[in-house]
Amino acid sequence: MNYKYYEIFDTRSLEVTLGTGDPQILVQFYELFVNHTDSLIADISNDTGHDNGAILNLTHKLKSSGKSLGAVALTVCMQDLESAIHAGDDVRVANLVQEMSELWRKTRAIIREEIRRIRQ
Amino acid sequence: MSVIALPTVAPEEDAVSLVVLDDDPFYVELARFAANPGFEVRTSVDALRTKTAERTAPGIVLLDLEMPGESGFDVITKHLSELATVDIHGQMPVVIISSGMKEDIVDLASKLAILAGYKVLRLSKPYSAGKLRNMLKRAVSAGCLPEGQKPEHCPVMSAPDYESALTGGLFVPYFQPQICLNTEQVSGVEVLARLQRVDGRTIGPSAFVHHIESDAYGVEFALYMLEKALPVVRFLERTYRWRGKLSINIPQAALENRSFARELTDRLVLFDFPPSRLICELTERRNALALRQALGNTGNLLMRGIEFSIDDFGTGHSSIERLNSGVFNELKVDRSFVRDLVGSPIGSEITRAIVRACSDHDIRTVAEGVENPAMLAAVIDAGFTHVQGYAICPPVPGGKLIAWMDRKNKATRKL
Repeated sequence: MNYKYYEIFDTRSLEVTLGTGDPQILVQFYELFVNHTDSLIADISNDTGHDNGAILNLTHKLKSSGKSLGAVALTVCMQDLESAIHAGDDVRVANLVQEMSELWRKTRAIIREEIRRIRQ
Repeated sequence: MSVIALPTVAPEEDAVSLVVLDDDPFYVELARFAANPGFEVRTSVDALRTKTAERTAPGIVLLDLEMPGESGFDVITKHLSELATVDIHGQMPVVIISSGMKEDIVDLASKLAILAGYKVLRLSKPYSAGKLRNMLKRAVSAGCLPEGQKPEHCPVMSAPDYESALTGGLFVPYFQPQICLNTEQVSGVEVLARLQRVDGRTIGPSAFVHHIESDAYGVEFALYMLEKALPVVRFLERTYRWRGKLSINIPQAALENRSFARELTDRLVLFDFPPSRLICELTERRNALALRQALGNTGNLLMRGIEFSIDDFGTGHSSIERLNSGVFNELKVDRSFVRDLVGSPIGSEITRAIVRACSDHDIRTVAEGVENPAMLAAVIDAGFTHVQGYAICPPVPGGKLIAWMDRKNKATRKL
């Protein structure tokens, strides 16, 4: 699971999604995403092993907003997680949830860095 | 409460209502951002309840399907259907279904909303602010507001305001041509009501349609529009030897009125207009042929040679039974079904089957809301007999219709 920086996060995506490079707006959307995704990731981790239906709902959500914002690797991980749930492969589900947590830690760090860069 | 601090813009007087129902705060804020300025955004289902209670113009609903608690399906079957039952005719909002769910699930939600009487647009997630802005523009022109006009706040007219406008002659006929796809000639025009305000603005029917379809005013308004439209059609006849048909919307209230058939035919005699060139369009929002008096009037008008058309097919009461009634010469298929010809394989099959069934029984099929060349090509391929929509000509006042007809005739002569 050795991702390069650009494989984890595409810093151009949000600007394309919003159609603006306004730093204030970009920062606010990044912060909104980070706060919301923190709770989604926690919910997915809590549901692992007993409620795959709930995980599906959450991954579906994260897949959409993550793609809009540039969280590339996390989005791919969500797709894999959905496939594993559909296939009933609980072992793979558990592994991917672990991978997701790790990816989110890295993604969040990059977004924080991006926020700092924009604010400078 | 908004999370993203957007540039402060003074609230626009003519802002359009947009209700955003999505449990993902990213998409809620994206919608706020895309809709700013020009739209008055609300993000709770309570907004729909309030609109139901206050009978205010609903505007546009941006609806996610997958939400905890009440899903998008629940919103359609409960809140949007409740809004439909308060009978705010013609003011149904445009529903934009925004979802990343599989196509067949979105198809199902679309059909459900259409059956409840709504105009439906679809927006796949993920989407950009630009895409949503374009969709909102389409929604504005799709029916919740006067077509082709700047977004305009249309509070529902009170009865005294409506009466004043009618007395003052502020309601004017707009005309939208229909083309026969076989002959490529203008086969008819539909007359559509607009309110010409004293400040010069033109208001679409959403602000007053509940009056013109009501028991109190339905008969009077239908006859008023006929009287306004007939001179224009007679002018076309004299100037261009045009012998097309005039289509007019007839509310159930008119069909149920004892004297309506006689008063309508009196107007035709007055303007020396052959009954066989008049088509009465009945909307599907209510089953206009359910009552005895309505059937009696229909029979009287049929005997005089007046034709009947089912309007907005697919948006209200199921019409298979009505098609079988033998009353109707024409079926006008709602734009949402016409749009399915290019956007939905299942929807396309349904629409084609309907067109085939009509063709087998010599019922004309008019494709409504044909907006672009791609839709026009799909409509021709599906076997529709007639077409109406922006791809041909938007609804225009009488003077512009005459100018349009003039240009069309000159172009035809050059060929």
